[in-house]
Amino acid sequence: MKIERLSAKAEDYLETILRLSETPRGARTGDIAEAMDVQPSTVSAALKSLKEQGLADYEPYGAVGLTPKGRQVAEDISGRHVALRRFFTETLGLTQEEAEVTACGMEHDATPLVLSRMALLGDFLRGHPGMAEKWAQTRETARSERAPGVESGLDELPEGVRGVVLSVDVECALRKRLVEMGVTPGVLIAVERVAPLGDPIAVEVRGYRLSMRKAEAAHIRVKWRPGLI
Amino acid sequence: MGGKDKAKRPRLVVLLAGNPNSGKSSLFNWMAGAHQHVGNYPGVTVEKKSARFVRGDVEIELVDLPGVYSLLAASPEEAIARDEILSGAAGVVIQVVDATNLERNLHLTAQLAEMGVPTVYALNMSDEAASHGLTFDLELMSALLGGPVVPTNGSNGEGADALLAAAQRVAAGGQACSSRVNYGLDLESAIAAVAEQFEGDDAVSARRRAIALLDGLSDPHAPAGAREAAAREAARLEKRGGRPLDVQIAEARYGFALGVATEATRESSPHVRHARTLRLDNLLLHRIWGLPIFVFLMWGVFNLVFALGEPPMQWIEAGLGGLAARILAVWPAGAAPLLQSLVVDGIIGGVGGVISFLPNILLLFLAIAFLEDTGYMARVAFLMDRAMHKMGLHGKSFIPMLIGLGCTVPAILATRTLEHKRDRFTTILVAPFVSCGARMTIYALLIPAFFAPRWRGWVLWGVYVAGILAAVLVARLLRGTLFRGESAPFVMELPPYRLPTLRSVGIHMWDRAWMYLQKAGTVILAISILLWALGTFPRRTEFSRDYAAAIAAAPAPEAAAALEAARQAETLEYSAIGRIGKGLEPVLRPLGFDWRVGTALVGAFAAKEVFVAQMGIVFSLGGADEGPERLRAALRKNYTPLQGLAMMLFCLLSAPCVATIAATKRETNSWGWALGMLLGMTAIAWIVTFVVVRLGLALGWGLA
Repeated sequence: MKIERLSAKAEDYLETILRLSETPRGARTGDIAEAMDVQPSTVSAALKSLKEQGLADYEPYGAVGLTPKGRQVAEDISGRHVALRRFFTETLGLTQEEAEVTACGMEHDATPLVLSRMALLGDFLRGHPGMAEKWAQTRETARSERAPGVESGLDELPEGVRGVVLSVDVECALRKRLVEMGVTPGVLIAVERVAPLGDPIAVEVRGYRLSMRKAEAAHIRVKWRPGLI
Repeated sequence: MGGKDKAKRPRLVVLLAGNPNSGKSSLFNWMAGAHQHVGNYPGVTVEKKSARFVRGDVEIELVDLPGVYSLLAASPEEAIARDEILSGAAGVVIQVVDATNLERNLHLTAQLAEMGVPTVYALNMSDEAASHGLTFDLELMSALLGGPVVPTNGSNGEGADALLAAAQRVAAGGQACSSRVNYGLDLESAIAAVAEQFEGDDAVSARRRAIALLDGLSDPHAPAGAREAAAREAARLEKRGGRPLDVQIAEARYGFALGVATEATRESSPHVRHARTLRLDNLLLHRIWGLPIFVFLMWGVFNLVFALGEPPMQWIEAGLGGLAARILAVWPAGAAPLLQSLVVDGIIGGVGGVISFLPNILLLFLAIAFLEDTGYMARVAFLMDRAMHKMGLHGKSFIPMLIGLGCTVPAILATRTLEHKRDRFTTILVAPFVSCGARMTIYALLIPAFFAPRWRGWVLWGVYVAGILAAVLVARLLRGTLFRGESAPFVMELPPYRLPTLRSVGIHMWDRAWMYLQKAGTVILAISILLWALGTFPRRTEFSRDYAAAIAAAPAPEAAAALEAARQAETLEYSAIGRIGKGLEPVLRPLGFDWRVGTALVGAFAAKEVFVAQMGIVFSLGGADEGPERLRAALRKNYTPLQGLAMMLFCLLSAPCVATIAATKRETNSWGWALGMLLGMTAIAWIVTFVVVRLGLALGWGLA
């Protein structure tokens, strides 16, 4: 590699300067501070360091520019950021916000090979709509994997995911029935299957199988515990 | 004769308690052998199975309590189990525990322990548990549970004798079950505070009643102080625990259950419990294949009951016909004609009405016993609940409705599988709307009589759909009125699949068939004889002409038969049924029916297919022997297609047959419901038929 590794912070500065310098106002210290959520004095110190490394042109009270070398680094970083963000949203199906945050973290470390493989995977899935759809489904069913600790009614617990019963909030007769069948707070429960007509559901609790209507399951609050067998 | 002997022998009442699907009944069968007796608990339609036999020098009365998950008395079954245990008559309670599902089974143990009765535990299906890699420390378990633990095997009877021996030993010792659930500091202090208000009770009973009060059960005999203390403590603990007190109590009981199960179980290998059940469910409850397989199985059940039942039914009818013919042959000519008619038409006809159902009923109960014992019945409910629930019924109502397509009587008996009264009664009351096989004979007569070939299929289809529609509407109506309220919870165990033994299926089948013969059979017989009497009396002695002479002088057999038929028509017209038919004419006139239809309808009360025979008689065609074409021609001459349609609708919706009424009385345990069904259905039939007839007339088609 020609470019020696810069600190993540330095790369962030270069990226921000590149972005701001494309605006009519140009990249000014105050704007950089605002965009990166730091004090202007910190920005000044950082710019000074960048200038010393021959990456940025910097004159006090003027617009900040990038040297050709700095511009190359910044464009590289920015390209990686865009590639990662795209991979996260389009291929992994993350939200914009989550993709943005994660891309900011990973753009500094991802090697060109990782990036190219990611891009390849994305292209592959776009070229095979059937697979992309299957993958999207798999992602949906495993949505919980990224959401441990979600609380919901038992009726919303995805099939195959375990949950811990938090409470049984319902009038007396149904509650008595449920708790005597072993659905008490603290017990592990999992939805084993949904009836072909969409209701009722079969759950596994205390080593046996119990069926109930979704409307009844909705009264059972559970905390999702994905990954627990 | 043996009264004195029996009095000398010590008696011991042994109660068999346990969860549903714990193998309790098959264990009961092994212990009771041929001595068992099936009946109902007084006042409710909960089956009571008991057996009396002598073991050693003790006369044992073994009672199979209804299978329950708890003793909180929320359902009639639970109330019965609780009352029987607490009645004081029981010398010892045997709890059957499913070794493959210890935790939930021992939850019942936690409640039993409070009853203060000597208890023995049958660790059932321990062989199946072993195949799951589970073994048990019996000594430790019996120390923890406070009573001997006997391993048993319900499928081959292993351990049944040792179980009885242990029960007798424990009963002789008189030692109450010594285990006690520790509810934890807070709850225990609350229990103590409430218990001390029960001054007249001993310590065990005071504790039990205190826990029951805290659990939210009503105890009308509890002193006011106890109730106040319970309310106070409950409020305190609910605030403290952040959840209802009954939940806290259940948690403690399950804590005990889990504790005992964990301590006493040795797991030899990591395992998937009930892997076979899981695999079978993956197929039988499959998102796509589950329903086709279900439809196929139900088709099988229906065919088993009706196709396989058809030949024996015909043998029975042929046999009874032969019997009647023989009696007629040996009857001294002309002697006591009334008695002859009573025997041949009344009694033999009535007996036929009872036992001709028997093959169907035996086969139905065979199918149900098999479905229940294998565990598929719960899956039927699971698969069908959504559709049935929309109709105001329960998933388990499906089988009765399906069977209703064949015959309503076994359909009503099949409602036994429904646990909750509201669901069961709704199903019983709407089952007769589903077109049964007997009504098919009416359609088969009337549809070709009035409709062109290309319409016949549609009309038949329409009548069947009308019946199902009526069932759905009435079910919804009932749920909105008489059986109002939140529908019963569907929360239901999906038991593991097990292969039932022929023995248990056979016993199951026979028990229920015997109950049918005893209870419904006697009513059917009595009403059949009554209907015979109504069709016979008052007797006509003077006819419009001298038939006897005319028949004797008839030139050809055809002419004689025609004269005989005319005589029968006059006899029927003169009889009570004929008079009722005529009396009903003003009521039936708006529907377009004359007295002849009225007479046939009254006769059809004995059995729906009698409608056809009665129509034959009133049209002087001498029964149906002549082939239906002449009767159809007569019908076409006298009625319009709209009237024909009205007859079918009325037969479909109106008063069900005697056997159905008897079965309803039997299953609801009340004449009120049975008669209510009779009147309600007839009223609905009248209104619907009236509307259809008026609508048809207004549209200008029909009464041509």
